[in-house]
Amino acid sequence: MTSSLPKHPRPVMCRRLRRSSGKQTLERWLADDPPRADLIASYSVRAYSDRDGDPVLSIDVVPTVKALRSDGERQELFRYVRDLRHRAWSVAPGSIKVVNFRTSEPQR
Amino acid sequence: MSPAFDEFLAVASALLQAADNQTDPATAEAFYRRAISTAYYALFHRITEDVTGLVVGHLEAHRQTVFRRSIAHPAFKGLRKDIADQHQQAEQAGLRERQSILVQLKALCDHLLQLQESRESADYSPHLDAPSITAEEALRSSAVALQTWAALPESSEALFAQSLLWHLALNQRFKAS
Repeated sequence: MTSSLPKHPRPVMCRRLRRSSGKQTLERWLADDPPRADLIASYSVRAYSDRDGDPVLSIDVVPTVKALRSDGERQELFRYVRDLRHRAWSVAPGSIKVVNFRTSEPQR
Repeated sequence: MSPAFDEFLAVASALLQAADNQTDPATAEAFYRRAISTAYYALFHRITEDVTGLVVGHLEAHRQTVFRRSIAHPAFKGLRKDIADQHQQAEQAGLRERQSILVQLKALCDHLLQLQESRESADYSPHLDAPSITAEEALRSSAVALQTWAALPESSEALFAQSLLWHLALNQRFKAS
């Protein structure tokens, strides 16, 4: 009897699989080395495709009230977020990594 | 005459200030969205103009414009990966000076790609969360990247231009095939 399932995953399926495993890798990395609690109140990882269809992994962060209180503290937050993004690039190869700001926990 | 790209960041800053002064949230968001977009273009135009000067600076102005306009936004994604690969090779070969140059170029690409993503959301997404924080970060990010770019020695800019050209050629080849 022959199976109706494709022998190999189709390209779209492959992309989805890759993206999902990249997301898990980034989530694991963040769980092992969580973002600074004094600057980031909560975070989540989101995988999506940009307008060209390229995979993007976003670390959605909600800053703490303290981090946004003064210009000096905001500067510290932005410096930290840049560093976080730069470090994230070495994790889960094959995706674009960005950090997006949120005012609350994003809808999934 | 080429547009005054250096003024873009000042425009973005004025837009951010105008947004902060708005009482109507919808109007404020419109200003924040424009500020994010302008912050990205401040960096994009500065880099593309300088790369154009390096590569085809000897040609007539209209030919330079044709070249500059051929530098498409997606080319920077491949460029980031290429620079990361070059960095890894330099690390393995123990080429410290090259490594430090490539670290700066990688950071520059990170700024570009983040700003590209923020601009995409600002220009096309119907819902933009945290517009004021995103706009503020976009401006700071663009300013930091412009400083990094301005401080780079010409040899580093040439390395950046060379990698970018490779990706433009590659994209062209895929389009043609």
